[in-house]
Amino acid sequence: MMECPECGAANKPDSRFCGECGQPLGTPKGMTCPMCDTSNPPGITVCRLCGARLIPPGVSPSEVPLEPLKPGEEAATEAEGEGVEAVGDLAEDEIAEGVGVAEGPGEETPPPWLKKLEELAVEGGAEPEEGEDIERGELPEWLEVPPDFDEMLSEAARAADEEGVAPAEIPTWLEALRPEEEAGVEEPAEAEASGEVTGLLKGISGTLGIEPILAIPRRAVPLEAVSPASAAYERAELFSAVVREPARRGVTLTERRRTEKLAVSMVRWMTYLILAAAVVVPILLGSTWSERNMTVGGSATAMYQAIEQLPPGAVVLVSQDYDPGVAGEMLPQARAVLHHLMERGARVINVSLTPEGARLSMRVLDAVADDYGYVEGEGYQVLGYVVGVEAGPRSVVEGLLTAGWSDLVGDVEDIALIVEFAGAPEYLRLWLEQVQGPYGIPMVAGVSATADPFARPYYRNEANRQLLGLMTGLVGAAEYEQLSGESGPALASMDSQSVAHIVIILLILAGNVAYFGGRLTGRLTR
Amino acid sequence: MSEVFAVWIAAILTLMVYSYLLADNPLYRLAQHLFVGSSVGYAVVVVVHHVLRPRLIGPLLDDATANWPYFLPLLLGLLLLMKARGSTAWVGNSSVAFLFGVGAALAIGGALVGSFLPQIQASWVSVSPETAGGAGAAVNNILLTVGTIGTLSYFYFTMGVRKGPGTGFLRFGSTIGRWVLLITLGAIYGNRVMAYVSLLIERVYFLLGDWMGLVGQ
Repeated sequence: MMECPECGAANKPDSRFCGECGQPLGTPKGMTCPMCDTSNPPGITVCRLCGARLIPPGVSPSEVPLEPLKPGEEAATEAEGEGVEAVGDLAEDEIAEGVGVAEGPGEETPPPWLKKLEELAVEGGAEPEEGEDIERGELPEWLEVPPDFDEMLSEAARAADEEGVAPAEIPTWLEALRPEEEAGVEEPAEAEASGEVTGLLKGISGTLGIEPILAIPRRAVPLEAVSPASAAYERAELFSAVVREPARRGVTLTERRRTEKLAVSMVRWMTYLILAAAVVVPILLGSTWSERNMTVGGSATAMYQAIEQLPPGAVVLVSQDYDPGVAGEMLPQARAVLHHLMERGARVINVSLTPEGARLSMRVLDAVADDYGYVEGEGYQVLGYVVGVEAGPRSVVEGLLTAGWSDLVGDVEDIALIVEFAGAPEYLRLWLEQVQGPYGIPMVAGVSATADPFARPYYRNEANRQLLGLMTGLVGAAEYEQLSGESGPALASMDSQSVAHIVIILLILAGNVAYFGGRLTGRLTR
Repeated sequence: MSEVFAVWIAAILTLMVYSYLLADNPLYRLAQHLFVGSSVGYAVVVVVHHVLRPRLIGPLLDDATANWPYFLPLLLGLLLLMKARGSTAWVGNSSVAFLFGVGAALAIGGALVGSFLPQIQASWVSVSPETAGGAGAAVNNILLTVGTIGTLSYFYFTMGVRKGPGTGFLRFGSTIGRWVLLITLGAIYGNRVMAYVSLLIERVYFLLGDWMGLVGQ
């Protein structure tokens, strides 16, 4: 009979797999090292990884040594095991169906390790008689522990003593780490138990399981006497005094806060008043200093030149895309440019990408048209509001060219110039990307001061001349009025603008001096 | 008379808005709500009078047979109204898809033709005084080139944030780009302050001139 190494079930001698659990029987499990858990092939006495002895010294084959397997035999054994593992899936299926695989013809020879064990048992007088039937679950006689096993162990120990194995010497530093025995800490009873009673370590004392280690309570480490530094002690006393100090009267703190808030409010109102005075006083005085001394920038001059070069009767598409929030800047620009256009005799088509811009632009357009005797429908035309998305500017040009929105334009070349007044950079970008680029129509722009940094690269593009001219904010309108000799609200506002800028610069400087001065004073105080 | 009334209303609303300098108060909130409400109402009126009536309803009423293509935007617009209710919102998906499709196509094409390619071409400048048109123009072009490369390096997040071989130049360019951006933001802030001062001047002119009559426009 062949006993399954996995479940212990008895199988027929020639069985290849266990009839109970399906474990391959041709490749018995090797010994697992008790020290490093390495699975070792059968027939060897020491672990192939860590070198630990796999069987107790008492049964060491000193008298009847087990011959180590030859390399070829070990390889054959391992290869056999791997082959069985490789076909493991198929074999498991067959076993699951209850097919009597183990009942196949016994063509295989016993493995070498089994022969060795059988020879060892025969020499020990444990050879079973032929035909003797072993009951299911019982160990064969040659696998049972011999009755003189304990004597063999004691002999092995005596032999070890005779060999002069000196006890391990514990170094002094390790001895110093040995915890002192304390009363009241009970060691678990298992820790004092004698050696192993089963398994390969049977009879070996000094082994300790994991459970007793976990059960040992931690020893209390006595704390050393703390001697705080004097400075730390003083700080602790100060903290204690602060905590125990009775609260101050709330009136004092409230008054101080009120004073601080009043001071902050005073500074804020002083700033407001100074800025308001900077704006109001030049207006009330009617100052014209800037009107007489203002220099005109190149971009406004370029815009003036672009309109100045238009032939009489040229069609100019004017788009006024702003809302009341920036009307203070944009209306003076539109007024100055429309004056110039109508002075040159240009025909104007007015449109707006914002609903408010349509209405605001009409106020300027009607006023200037009255000055020059323009009649709506002849000298100028109003298209009104067009939705301010990508399709808006494109639809204006396509409507003019194909849908007959205006009698003034029949071809794209009839549009001599596009004048864009953009309160926000998005509107300028829409006209540049949807009309100026695709159709190549010349374009100038007046933008809010906020939009100037976004518009400037288009004007500075000397390779493509995307914007022939650019005016910025109220200053740009004033420059244009200066160029055209038409004094208007922009020029009249320049003194207030200049004084306000100077005041803002001074306030910024004063704020920085106060801030850094305060930091310096605080640092010196500390 | 109506103009005087309008000036008074505008002046009072202006003062109500400036009352925010004191603190957030009901007068400021009232002016804010009036502005928002009147803007929306005005936008609706403008859309009806400037868009729907002259460019859609008018052509259809004049000659519906000849102007039959106008029914298509009318239909899409009506479908868009179905978005008002959640249960019928899916009906307007085709209108939204049309709007987004046309908008995206125009935006991409326009950006390529109107901004992207021309600005790339504009950044290809000469740094030689002979060909740039003088020493000042050459210095300007050098600053333009360095600023452009530095700003692009700053926004090149894949490399340069870590120290390593081959990233030194990129990190140096990134530092330059950061300073260029700071200067640009400072310029934008300065322009914004200038714009707000201009708006304050315009309102002061209105209050002192149109309302009080102290100065002439």
